[in-house]
Amino acid sequence: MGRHHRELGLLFSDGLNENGSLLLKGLQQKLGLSFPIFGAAASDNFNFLKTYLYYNEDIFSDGAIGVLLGGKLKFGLGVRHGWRPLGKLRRVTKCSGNTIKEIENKPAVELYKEYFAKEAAELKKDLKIISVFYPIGIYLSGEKEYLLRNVRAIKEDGSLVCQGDIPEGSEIRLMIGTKESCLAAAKEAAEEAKKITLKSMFSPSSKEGLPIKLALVFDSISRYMLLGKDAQLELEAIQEAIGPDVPIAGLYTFGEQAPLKSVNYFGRTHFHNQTISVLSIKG
Amino acid sequence: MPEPNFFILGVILVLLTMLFAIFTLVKMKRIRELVRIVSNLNRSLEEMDEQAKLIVRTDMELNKTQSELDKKIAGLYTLQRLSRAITTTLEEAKIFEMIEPRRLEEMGFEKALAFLWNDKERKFSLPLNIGFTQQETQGVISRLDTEIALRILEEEKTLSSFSIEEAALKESIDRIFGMKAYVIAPVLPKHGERGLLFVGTDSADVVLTEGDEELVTILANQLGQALENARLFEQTWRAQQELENKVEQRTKELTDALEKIKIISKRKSDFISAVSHELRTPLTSIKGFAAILLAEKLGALPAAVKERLEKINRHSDELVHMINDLLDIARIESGRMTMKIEPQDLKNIVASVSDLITVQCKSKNIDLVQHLEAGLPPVFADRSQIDRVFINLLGNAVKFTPQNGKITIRAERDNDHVRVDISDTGIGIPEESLESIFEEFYRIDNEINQQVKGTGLGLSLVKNIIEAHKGIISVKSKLNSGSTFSFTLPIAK
Repeated sequence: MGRHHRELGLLFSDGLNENGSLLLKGLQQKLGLSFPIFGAAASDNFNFLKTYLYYNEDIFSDGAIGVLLGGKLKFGLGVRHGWRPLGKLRRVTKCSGNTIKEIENKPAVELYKEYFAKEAAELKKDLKIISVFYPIGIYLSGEKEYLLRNVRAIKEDGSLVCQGDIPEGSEIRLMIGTKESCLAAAKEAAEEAKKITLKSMFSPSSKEGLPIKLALVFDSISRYMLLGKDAQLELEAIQEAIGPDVPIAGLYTFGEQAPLKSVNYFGRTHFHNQTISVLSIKG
Repeated sequence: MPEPNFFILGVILVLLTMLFAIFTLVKMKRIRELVRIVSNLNRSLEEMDEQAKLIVRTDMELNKTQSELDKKIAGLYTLQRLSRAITTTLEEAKIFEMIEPRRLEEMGFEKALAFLWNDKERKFSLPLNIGFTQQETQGVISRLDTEIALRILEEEKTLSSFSIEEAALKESIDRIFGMKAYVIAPVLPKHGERGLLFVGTDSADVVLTEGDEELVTILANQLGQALENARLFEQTWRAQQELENKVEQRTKELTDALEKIKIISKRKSDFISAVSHELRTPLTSIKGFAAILLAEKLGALPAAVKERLEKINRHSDELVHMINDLLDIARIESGRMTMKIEPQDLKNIVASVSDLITVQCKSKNIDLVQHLEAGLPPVFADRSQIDRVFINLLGNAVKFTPQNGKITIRAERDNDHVRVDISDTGIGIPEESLESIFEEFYRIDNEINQQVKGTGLGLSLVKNIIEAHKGIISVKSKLNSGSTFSFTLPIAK
């Protein structure tokens, strides 16, 4: 793979891909399970019609672009969403890839039906709002936050189609978020990106002193929807944390790709929803 | 002996069993305890889960309300900005341009059309089109049912996709515009073309409410108001333009007329000059020959002949006099008279002129009085010309005053002028002649003028001279009581 040791992959994918986890699986077959990949899924303002990716002079959809980085640069990473669990843990009893078929041996949609006291038809109408404000959170032991999944569709048989994989047997809960928790999460993500350097992800003491040259921010569009006219505050919180002169570049996404931090997951990159992910490039 | 071994074994077994039983009992108690705790925890968990459900439902309602509010507030802000822009535009064509696509989106709509109904041509014009392609617009126009549109206009009420009661009407309108969510509000200025404002949205999320209807109605009202103002302004502006045009026209006409008059006046002066010069030459001859004959240089003449010759002389003199006057007037009028303006002492002038007419006054027993203000300042004047003014005026005074009358010469200071009044107790001037008296050749039809010959040029000459001195001449008179001629001359500073 070339002269320099590759340390990080940057990825951009089509946000309308049904299962974001599959793309990662494929990449990990080539790059290795623990190779850190940081990425975003392109969005189109909640219309769910078409998204675009740019590669040199080409524009296309339904694809993915990546860059492998290695060399003198050092990277810091922070991924947070700020959503909190609500209600009791439930077990996913039947699941295939990104479709949850049964929760606690009942059709998956019962979960939402119970919590919202609405029938499936009404749920389908409000699905965009429900999915963004109250996503499903997968409990990951060792991780600071739950892994969130947005429900994209409710099938006739009551299955919930999500944007990424859910392992069968996972314990899930309904999640709730507020503006404050979102903004706090943005700050935390930025702080973490400042501290951590990729090499020593598993032993986070490290080269705090290195100045950040550029920060990439992949911000889930769900947070834009929640924050409304206060959306700017997120970016302000990040700018404050990493320093007022550090340039920030980024986009609003339909999903993010980032590695999990705890040892239990060997730094494996997962598909995330609803997070604000900050990559700091130091050197 | 074997029995003691069995006995000891038996005792040990019993002891063990008893221990085991105690142990189990204790454990079971513990287990029951734990089961109780677990069941309590479970119950708490279930209860909390129920609470979680309540929280989630409330939160959802709040979020919906919040986003409705946000939308309303954004809509109101936009409406305010639009209103300000619209109501400060006085040009009808620009009013609809103020509704930009961005503002429309902020109000929650992507497409808009405005229609204005032209009653004379029986058709609609489209001053506003946002979000419809050319083709789509053509489609709308072709499907637009004039009857329906006019009906909506008549009723002067706002319609929207959720509030139309007649199913048939809703279907028609849905079909015309090809949209499911829309608001149609009437635009009703008091003067001129009225119309409709259509705004619509294709967004699946949006649910139109009465609030949206109200916003659009307010916007349509603003448009109506702005159109009204623009049209009134246009009217006023047009009226003013017309007025200005008329004034310009009239001024031009007057200026042209004035030019013509000036030309005519100049021609008259030139004519008079020319004629006078032409007349002078033969006159001079006549006089010359008469003089020679009178002097009897060509032989003695009988008395009758001499008498006739003298008459010829006298009449020639009169003619020369008249021609000179005419020439002077013409010269003064055309500005060709050379004037030697110097400071003059009126006292001297009055004194010398008075001397000249003393004889005539004595013969008619007319009292000549002077009232010259003390310390009268000198005036700017040409001596010979002012002499003539005095001679003319005093001459007239004597001529028209009967026996035992009185002539008064008065002079006093009046700001930066000196005013001279020459009054008499003569026959006076009829009121209708007061204005014309200074005109050339004008002679009042009275006994004296019928008897005594005159050119009718005296006062005209006086007027010209005084005005050339930048003074003003005027007359006051009453039939049979007398007249006062007044003129002003500038003070020499």
